[in-house]
Amino acid sequence: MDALSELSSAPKPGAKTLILGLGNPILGDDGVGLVIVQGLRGRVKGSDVAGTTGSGLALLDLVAGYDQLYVVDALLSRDGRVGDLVKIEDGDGAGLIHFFSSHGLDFFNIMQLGRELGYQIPKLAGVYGIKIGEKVSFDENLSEPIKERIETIRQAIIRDIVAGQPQDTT
Amino acid sequence: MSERVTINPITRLEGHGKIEIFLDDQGQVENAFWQVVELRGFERLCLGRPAEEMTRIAPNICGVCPSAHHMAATKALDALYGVDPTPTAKLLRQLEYNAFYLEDHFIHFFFLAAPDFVMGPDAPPGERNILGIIAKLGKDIGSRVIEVRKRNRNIIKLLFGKAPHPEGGLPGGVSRGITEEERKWIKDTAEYSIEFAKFALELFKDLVLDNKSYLDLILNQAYNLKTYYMALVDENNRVSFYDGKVRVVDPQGREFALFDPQDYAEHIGEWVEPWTYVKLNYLKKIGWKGLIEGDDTALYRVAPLARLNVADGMATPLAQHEYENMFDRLGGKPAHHTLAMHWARLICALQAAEHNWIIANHPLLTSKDIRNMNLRLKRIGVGCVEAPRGTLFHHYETDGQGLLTKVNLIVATQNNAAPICLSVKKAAQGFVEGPVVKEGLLNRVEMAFRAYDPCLGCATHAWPGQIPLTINIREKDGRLVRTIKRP
Repeated sequence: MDALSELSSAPKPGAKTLILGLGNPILGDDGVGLVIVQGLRGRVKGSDVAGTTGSGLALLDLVAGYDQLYVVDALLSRDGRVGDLVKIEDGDGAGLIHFFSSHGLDFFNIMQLGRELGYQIPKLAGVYGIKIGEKVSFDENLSEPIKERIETIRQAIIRDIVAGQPQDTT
Repeated sequence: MSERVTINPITRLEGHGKIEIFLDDQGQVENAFWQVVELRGFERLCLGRPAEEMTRIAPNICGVCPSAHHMAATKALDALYGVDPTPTAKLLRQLEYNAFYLEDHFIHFFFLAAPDFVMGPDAPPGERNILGIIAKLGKDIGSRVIEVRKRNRNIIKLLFGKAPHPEGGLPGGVSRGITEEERKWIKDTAEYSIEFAKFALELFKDLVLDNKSYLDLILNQAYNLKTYYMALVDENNRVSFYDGKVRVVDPQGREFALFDPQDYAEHIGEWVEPWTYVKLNYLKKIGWKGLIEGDDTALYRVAPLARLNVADGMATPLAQHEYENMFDRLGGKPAHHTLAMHWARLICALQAAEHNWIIANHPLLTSKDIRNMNLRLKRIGVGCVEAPRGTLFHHYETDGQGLLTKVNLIVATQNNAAPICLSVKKAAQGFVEGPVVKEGLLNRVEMAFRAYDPCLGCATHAWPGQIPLTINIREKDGRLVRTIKRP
């Protein structure tokens, strides 16, 4: 369970960017978003890193107050390319497991709700989907193809986020 | 020509289910089934593990009822280790559990139930949500819902480490106590929650009860189901969420059984049908009679309306007043009106808020005596709570080292599974005619099960992408006649 345990530290006040992993740590590859972000802590300057098994309003609690948000989640895939990293543009998240909720409101609705109620809702700067198989089942471990790609995926995400940040010219 | 209407996937429901509606040659609804199409294998995952891990594993069954599973697991461990929690630990557990109830019941009402009444069952599906409510009733309501949820969630975080998946329950007690300083804001939160519950009940009266068409909908025979009812009650047979005995009343409201939760297997039978992965519970002493309602049924219902039907009253004064109002308005006990679940849910929320105010003022709340460490492994333990969705049982057995050899969970939605099938069938028969069905009428069928707030999270956790409502209309041989998709 240790490798997939939920990150519990709250985002630091004043941070501008949040990298948020989503997933369930007892559903095998479903939890890949949590594992990815565990290894991102301290590796992207000026960013907070958090993971959650929650959805819906719980996401509002986590993201409110940040300027920009990156999400890391499992992506259902039927093409067999397990472990591939896909960057999804804002509003085009079909297939992401935890981005959509069966409990009434999906991620975008929650963000809209937050804005309408006056919360500071971050810009969705990027959604990283890691392709997993078509189905998941109870398991505390990631599959071997996913495990082998974890650090490669982390490095790709770091490069992408850093490339999108304003350059410090001082 | 017989035809089939499929509602798949169902919206505003946790987990993955679908509804199959079969039409006869005249286009009338012949039968309807609510199916759970994914398998739960959770109990197997737990075998061989140290029993004490269950309080951390069980909350991850789903993100909707984590505190209920955590509390049932904690109480099962109390029994497994033969230990009685200290009085302060019991207070702290109930404080957390009531906070969870408040969060859950308010979210269900405002996010899942109210859109059908505020926006109307025929409103476009894209508007039948909390955003539609805010647009119609104002931002203040949305802000108050978020605020009451936040305050109660802070209690969960304070006491049990984190939300939504708490970890603070331990066999014999809890992991931390509270200070006098913390007592102050807990008391403030209880007062805020009482006022909000009163506001929500007034809103329900204004929106629903004072609207003849909605009141008629609640009283419609299509939403009436005559069954037995089951819930936890305290020593005075009043509604209890955390502890007590399990009481069952018959369709006339007479006591049928009153038993200790550890004896659940003598009273609850689990029937298996080939068309669903959910076991269909029934009263074992009557025996399986099939999917029927009425005096001859063996089916029982749980959840908020069941709690009020089962109990002789509420445990707190304001909730008791609302309880009496509800049964006066519905024509007495028991009430078989499925949509009255929404009303009963708000009354339960009011009791939770009042109870937390009582706890917040209790002199023992800030005692440091939060755990009884006199643990003796008994190898069998059953824990039972009233989950927001109904009575929940956790049953563990271990070897001499405390490693799990048996895990059995009876979850609330499983208790309600067969009645949900019947409710869906009655609603379909009441509102569906022929394969060309308007969306609003199909929503009326969904309203029949949405009232139960069923949670299939215990059956499945993954939701494969966006969930538009797809309705397939098929001939008996399976040929697709028509497909309707919600935007």
